[in-house]
Amino acid sequence: MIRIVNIFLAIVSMVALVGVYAQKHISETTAEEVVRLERAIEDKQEQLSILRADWAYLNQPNHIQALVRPHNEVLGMQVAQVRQFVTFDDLPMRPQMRLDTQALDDLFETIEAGEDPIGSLLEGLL
Amino acid sequence: MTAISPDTTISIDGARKARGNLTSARIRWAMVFVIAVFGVMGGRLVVLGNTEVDTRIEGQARDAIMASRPPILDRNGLEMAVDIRVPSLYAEPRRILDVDAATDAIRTVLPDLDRQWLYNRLDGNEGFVWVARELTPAIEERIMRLGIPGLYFLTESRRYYPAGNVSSHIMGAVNIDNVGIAGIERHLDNDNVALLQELGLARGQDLTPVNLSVDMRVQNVLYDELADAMTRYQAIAAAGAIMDVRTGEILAMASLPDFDPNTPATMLVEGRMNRMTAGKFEVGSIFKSITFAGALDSGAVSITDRIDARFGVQFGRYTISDFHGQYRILSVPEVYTYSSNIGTIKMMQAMGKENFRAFITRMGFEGTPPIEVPEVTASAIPGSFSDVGAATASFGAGLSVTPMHMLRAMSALVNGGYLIEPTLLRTTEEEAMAGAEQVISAQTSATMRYLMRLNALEGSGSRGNRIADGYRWGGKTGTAEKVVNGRYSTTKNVAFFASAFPLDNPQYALVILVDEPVEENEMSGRTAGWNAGEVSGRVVARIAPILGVAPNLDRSLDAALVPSVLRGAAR
Repeated sequence: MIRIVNIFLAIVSMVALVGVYAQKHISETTAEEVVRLERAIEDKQEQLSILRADWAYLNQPNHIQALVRPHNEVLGMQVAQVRQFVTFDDLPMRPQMRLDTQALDDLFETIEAGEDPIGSLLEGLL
Repeated sequence: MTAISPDTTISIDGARKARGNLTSARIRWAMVFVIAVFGVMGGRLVVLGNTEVDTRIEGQARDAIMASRPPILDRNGLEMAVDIRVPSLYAEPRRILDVDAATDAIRTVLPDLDRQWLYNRLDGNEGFVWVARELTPAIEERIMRLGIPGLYFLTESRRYYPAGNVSSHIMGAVNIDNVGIAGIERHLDNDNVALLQELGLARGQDLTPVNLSVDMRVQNVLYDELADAMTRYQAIAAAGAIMDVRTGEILAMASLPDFDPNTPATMLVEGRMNRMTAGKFEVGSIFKSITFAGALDSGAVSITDRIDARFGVQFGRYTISDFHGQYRILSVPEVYTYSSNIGTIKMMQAMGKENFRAFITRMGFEGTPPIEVPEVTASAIPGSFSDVGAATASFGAGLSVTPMHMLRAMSALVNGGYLIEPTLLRTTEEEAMAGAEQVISAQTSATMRYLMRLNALEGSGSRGNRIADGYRWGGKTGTAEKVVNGRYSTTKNVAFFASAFPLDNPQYALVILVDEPVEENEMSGRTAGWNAGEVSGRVVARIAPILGVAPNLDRSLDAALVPSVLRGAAR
């Protein structure tokens, strides 16, 4: 009896040994992975900070102005003149469109009366 | 070993019992041994726990070096200052095997380093020495490839100002340890960033950005026009600032010559101070606006009065006369548009010099201008005026104030009379008005707007007004003679223009100064209307559309500014 128990315990301890070792190995690999990812994040953040600085630099008005100046002969950009500003009140109204109001009124009336000319047209097709 | 009990002389135990005694003795010794070992281990733990590991880098906390600063944004969210992460090279000299070889190898990548200096740096037994800071990733790669033991890299935060010189005096600068040394950066440190850095909390990229009141588009226009003024009028300096008269927010502030905040050493060159806050000037005739507001607000002078400007004002041997002399009886608006010294002195005298002195204090001219940047200087105003002193002060001579003081007072003159503090941080109108004091009545403010607009239409501001026509802009010129060797120079002067727009609904005030301008060409003059006035006009014409001020050429808007008592008069 005692021998069976001993053998059983020996097997259990062997399995436990292998298991613990495997666990340790896995956790080490995971830790390595974590460090690697952290490095990668740091790297990316570094690149991101430089790209962000680049973006901010490219968006600076003085940078854009410096780009425009040499090409201004082609672009012809100037300070906006007062006469170039208009308000909505200065805009003429849109020309009156000739709408066939009579036909529309008729249509609404027939719909109101309970008939649907387009619906019946579709039903006719089916 | 035999146990001997004290009360018996001899006792002979059985073998089994003797062995039992032996075992218990052995167990006791084993216990003692185990306790001793654990005691040593425990003691060592206590010692280790109390040892302070020196994580400092050449006298500085590691966290402080790695610390980042919050990004600074303009009012539209455009970055004005950002952190970039850069590698810095350091060495552990005690791990360097061959100092000579290491020195030469490093110098193949960084040839600027002095050989002897580098050798001394690497030769020794320290645990940490900087070799070169804030390098580029490319250099990091090349040094890594050299494979020298004992050389390492640390990622540092480095401040970068994408706008460079354009916003230099606002931003200030940081030193190599990312500590603010000037401008708004210094202000942030005094505020709370330094504390965060000390606690080691200011790490990573997640600090809340700081929003400034500055509009980079406006700032760029101001800078561009000031730079243009420097060459156009061959001036030694030019400066200006634009303020929102309702909130006190500074939209732009520039002072040339300037520096590049990315290389802070350039800041120290003589003459590159911020003239708007750290330079004090006798501001000349722009100060007449203050005298006018004081005299009108006190009730001693009314806008319909007529002032005798036929003769100069006599003080003992001295006579003060006019530059654009009319020598006749002038109306109050004429005194303003002709910039008559005589008329202004008479108005000040009607008010009383004590009242005038008190009014200068009320307009916030005492002490340093209240603004976030630490580069400020206190104004120099005599504590009490003599008769002559009061007379000269009424037209801006004999007292020195900063242009920022002047800008603040100009805002109060046009915004209905509320003296608000200029600020570089975002502010709402409610916040600004909570701390504001009404220094002149709304009616006086309306009269001042009329006078300023009139001066642009008919007076010394007309040159600028032609450029900025449609934006209902107006202000006062000032040409102050510079003091050279204790005397007023007739050839060297500082030109000022203090103005506001749109005067039918005042929103922005600006002060522009040009130091020692010369005539642009033979046809032009050297007084402020020709230079500071035109610069102001060009600035307004460019920024008004950006700021959403719609131009309007309708002359009835100007007519509406005329005080009712003057309507229907001959003017």
